[in-house]
Amino acid sequence: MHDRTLTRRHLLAMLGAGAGAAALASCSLPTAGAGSDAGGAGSSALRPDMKQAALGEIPSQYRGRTNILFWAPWTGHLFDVIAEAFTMFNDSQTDIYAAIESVGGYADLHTQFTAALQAKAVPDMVCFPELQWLQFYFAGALAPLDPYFTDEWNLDIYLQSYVGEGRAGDETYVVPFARSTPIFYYNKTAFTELGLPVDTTYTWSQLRELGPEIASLTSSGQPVRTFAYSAADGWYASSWLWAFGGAWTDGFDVMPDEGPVRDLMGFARDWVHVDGHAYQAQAPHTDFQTGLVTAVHGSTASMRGLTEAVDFELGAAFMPGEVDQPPLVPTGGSGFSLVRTDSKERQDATAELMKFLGTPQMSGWYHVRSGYVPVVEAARDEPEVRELHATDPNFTVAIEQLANAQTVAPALWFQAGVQALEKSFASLTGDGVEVQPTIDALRVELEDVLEDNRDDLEALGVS
Amino acid sequence: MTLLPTRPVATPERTASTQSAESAGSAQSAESTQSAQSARSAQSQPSPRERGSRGRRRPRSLTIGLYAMLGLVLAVFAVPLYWLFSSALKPENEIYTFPLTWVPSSLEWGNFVEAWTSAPFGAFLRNSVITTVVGTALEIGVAVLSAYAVAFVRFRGKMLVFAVMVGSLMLPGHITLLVNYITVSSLGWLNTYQGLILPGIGSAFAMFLLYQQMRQVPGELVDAASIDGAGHLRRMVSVVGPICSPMILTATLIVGIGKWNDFVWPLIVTSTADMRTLPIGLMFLRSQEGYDSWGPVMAGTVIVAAPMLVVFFLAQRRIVGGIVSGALKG
Repeated sequence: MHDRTLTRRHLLAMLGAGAGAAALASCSLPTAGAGSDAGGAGSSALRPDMKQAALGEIPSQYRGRTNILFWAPWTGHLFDVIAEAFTMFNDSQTDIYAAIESVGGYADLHTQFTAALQAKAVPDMVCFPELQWLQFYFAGALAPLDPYFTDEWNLDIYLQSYVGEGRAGDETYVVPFARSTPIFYYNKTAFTELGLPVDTTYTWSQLRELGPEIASLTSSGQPVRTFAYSAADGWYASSWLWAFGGAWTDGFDVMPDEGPVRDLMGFARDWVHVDGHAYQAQAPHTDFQTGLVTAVHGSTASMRGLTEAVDFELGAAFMPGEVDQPPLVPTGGSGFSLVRTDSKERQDATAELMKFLGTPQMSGWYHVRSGYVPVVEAARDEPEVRELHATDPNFTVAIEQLANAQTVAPALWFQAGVQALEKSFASLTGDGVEVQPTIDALRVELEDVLEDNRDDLEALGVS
Repeated sequence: MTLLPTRPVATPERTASTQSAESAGSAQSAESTQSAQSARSAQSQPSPRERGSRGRRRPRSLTIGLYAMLGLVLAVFAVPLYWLFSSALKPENEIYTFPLTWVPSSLEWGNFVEAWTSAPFGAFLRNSVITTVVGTALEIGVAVLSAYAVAFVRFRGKMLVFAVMVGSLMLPGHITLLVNYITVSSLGWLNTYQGLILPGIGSAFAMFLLYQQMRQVPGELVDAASIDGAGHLRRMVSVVGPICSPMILTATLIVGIGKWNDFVWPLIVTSTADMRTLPIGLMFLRSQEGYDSWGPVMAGTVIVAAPMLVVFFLAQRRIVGGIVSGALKG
């Protein structure tokens, strides 16, 4: 596995896509833009040299239609779900056959789409997380969606906190689909046994105070810990700092107020190295499932799998607050983009597919099966969604927290920024380094990230 | 290498050491000269039983130490494999437990069924077999021909050709990846078998390996064949080939395993599920966001790893045997 990652990274570096792009984290942020001179907002949505990539065998009942191709960044269960949705689309009408091929994960899609642009054999629809589509926009690979919007299908039907991330200038390049937020998971059985508060919103300090009580439980002969950090918490760190009342960057200004950052970093460091009730885990969710730790955070998209994996009662709560309660949470997950190809006919057909997947029925259907949030506002009133929420309140918690979702600070739109943040917290929770030098080092790195991407960011209206 | 000579010696010693297990006291007194001596004497003796009863054997402490090291080395190789194979058969919850569950409480063959059905593994297997067999055959064919040419055929600029070929060994594969990709795509070979196979058949590594072996072939043998009227092809097939067969087999194995496990090239050159190979299929078993069920992932890994393990175990005897027989030239 390790070898593969390295190789992919080399490939990407070679393809000129930016060295950090190989990050496998599903909730990662965009890599450096391909250069603002590429002129993404080209006048035509077509590119005559861009042919369609290979289609698999077309089932006989769908022959003779307009064939469109989607490269899906999912595997396993999530791929099965989306593939079923495509079958529903193909059966719902007689003009379009939508083919779906899994290319692996987001990083693999990044690699393969970059390569496909070189080969001029591309899919009709792609799906990038958060703001990773920006570099393809700057490379002129994506077509605006606005001409396809109608009264029934437009940005107003989606959750507004996820819409802004898909826009550049006055045009829309992404419609939300598999979107998520971080959420706090706890072992409700253990909390109830100990008489600790459940079904509430915690603060970080409160959780820290629960440490000794939780440590009275043992698992495999060790005292149970309260909370597991990991070495890759960059996405969650936005919510942490929002809870402590700070911001990582404001425009091009890095850490405008160091006070909250100092509080947050000191808190994480002391919780691990003074109290010993939190720790840095190799695989937090695995430790959570085996009972070594009573609480973790994760994506809302993990809820379906976690619910089935644990043999205790799973509790879900808003991300813990502190100064601000409840805090803002970062948006995560991905949405659909239309690729500039040689065929208007295929683009029109692809827009039809997006419309279909943007109906309240399909959005609700997908939410129930995948665990991603229902991105279409009206999907919450779907009977299937209501039923799920009546039986499993954890899903309701996830939806209620959506009101607090917000796009992360611009420095964290770039993989290098996220990695700098992850490195800082990894050395705080792992090695117990001093707080102030960590802040100083992080400041330099985030400033570099912003400076390296100043042109692209200014083009997007960041100031 | 260092462990090999101890094997014939150590086996009978175990019976001896268990017979008198009480007197294991003086552990630290072993000297290397002494052990070498006892090893030599042990080898010269006819019957293991006799050896065990006579006194001049390796000190027990050293034997125990050697066994401990042997066990440790074995464990380093065997434990991950055992864990992989046993986990593929464990019920879901026993995979994660800490401390580890070594023996599954029940055999979960369903993991294999789930792995096989949740992705088109039949197609992956077919594609892997085709690309590995055809690709390996072509690559070894090219390597044998070019190694023979460099070793035995005289032509102008040979050293330059050879230097360029060997020099390409120094080039990391990533450098040629993009060029190959663009070439293959402009030939219209994306997502085809020829696109999967052909870019990989020119391998300086196998050529160099075989060239080194062919240099050891006695010149008199080749000359004798040519005096008998054998042309280059005949000399290669009937004289040089058989003498070098152990190395050819070794190269075939190395090349074959490399092709079987190849990930990056098949990943970017194929784009539909019916053209993917097994290592990519393995990736399809893992979910991205959400939760992995590791049983089927482990079962899929076994499906991918097992054929190469079998091939290797079948072939390794021939490799060792072949090397020995090749060494007895005269």
